[in-house]
Amino acid sequence: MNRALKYSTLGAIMIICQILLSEYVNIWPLVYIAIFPQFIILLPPSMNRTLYMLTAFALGLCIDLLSDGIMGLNAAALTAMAYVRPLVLKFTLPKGNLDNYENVPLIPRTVEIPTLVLITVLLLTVFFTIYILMDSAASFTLGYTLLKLLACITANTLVSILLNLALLDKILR
Amino acid sequence: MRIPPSLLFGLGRFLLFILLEAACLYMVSNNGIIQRYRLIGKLREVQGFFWEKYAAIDEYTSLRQTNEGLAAQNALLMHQLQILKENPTREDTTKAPYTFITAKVIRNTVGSSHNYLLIDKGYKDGVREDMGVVTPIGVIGITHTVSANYSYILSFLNTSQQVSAKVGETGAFGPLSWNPHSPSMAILAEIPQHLQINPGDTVRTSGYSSFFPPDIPLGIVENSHIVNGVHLNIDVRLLQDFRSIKHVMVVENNNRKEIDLLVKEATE
Repeated sequence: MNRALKYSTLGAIMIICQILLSEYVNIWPLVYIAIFPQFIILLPPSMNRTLYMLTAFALGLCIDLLSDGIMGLNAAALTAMAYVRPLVLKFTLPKGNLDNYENVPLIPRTVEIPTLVLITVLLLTVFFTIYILMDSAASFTLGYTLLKLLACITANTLVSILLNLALLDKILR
Repeated sequence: MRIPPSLLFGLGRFLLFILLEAACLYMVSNNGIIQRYRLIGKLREVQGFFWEKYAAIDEYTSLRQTNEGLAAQNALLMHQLQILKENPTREDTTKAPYTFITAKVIRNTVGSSHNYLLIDKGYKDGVREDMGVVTPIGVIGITHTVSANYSYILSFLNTSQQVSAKVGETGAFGPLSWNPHSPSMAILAEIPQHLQINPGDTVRTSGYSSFFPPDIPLGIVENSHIVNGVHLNIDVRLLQDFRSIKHVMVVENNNRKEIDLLVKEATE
């Protein structure tokens, strides 16, 4: 399948899955399960960085429009994550053979799992820091914010690993 | 001096990033829930249809809980009727200050800082914007956007919402707002510290706003603490479990127009 079409289909599936998750899954008030950042994480590093940021903004806005919550929240967090991703990849991917990763999706088949987990944790930290700070701006308390941040990063990293191993690794051959 | 192209591209990307973030901040600060509802109003009507079907199934599976709620409500009404019989002060009951429109909840969120509800009554049923929404044991919110068949309610579980409430026998009143750390807790603020407030005291609507009738029980005092050495802030456990709301009543204040006109004249 054409690469662009493959990623567009995957993006659309992730939007649908995220809306269903938001509608029917509410594990704990502290935890917000967001699977769509995974789509931004896995895109090949060779993609145009401006287009990459605009894709993140559009994806976030789609999620905001169609699911619960405040419009602009997911878009802001995902755009920030997309902006810092090249920097995170520069410092986490093994040096010397960066070119090997340019055109491949970042999934366990192409990147070692510890490196992928590190990338995921760093990017999710950016995503949830922006998301939680903007969401709780009117009722900010340090302890609660840190607890929520920790709970969200832990839960979403686990979800991300499961998603990678069970699905993405097989779909994006 | 020539500026390297990579630096120019980097600067361009940074400016785009700032622009996108500013757009998001603008949407968030303008309460994007409402914007979204207006942007995709038609889609919401379609979603409303499916949510209604889902709510019907959910309602069927929770009939026991609904019956228990109705029994409790019945007991409360019987008690109020008994009081009215013993004190027949109102001669003409047709001139009641409030009328109620019952509605079914078809969508309800409790998990974020900005929650909302969707009910199956719209302007065809007499619902208008800015009407209070209550249950016999709590204030649920205020109608914000109304379509023909559905109404969108800004939930009390919203960091920007406040309800005027009074506490215990003292009748001391202040703003009651949701404690965003728990869907079952609220904070009653600005209560004078010399007043004796005991755990277990009931918090009720004060009736000082034209949205809600007075004396609707809202919650029970858990504890209190002094803020800035001046006021008491009281932790209130809400009586209404927001996660299990099935039916609500939209409140129409029959004197609202007269009150609003009087306030407008007085402040001009």
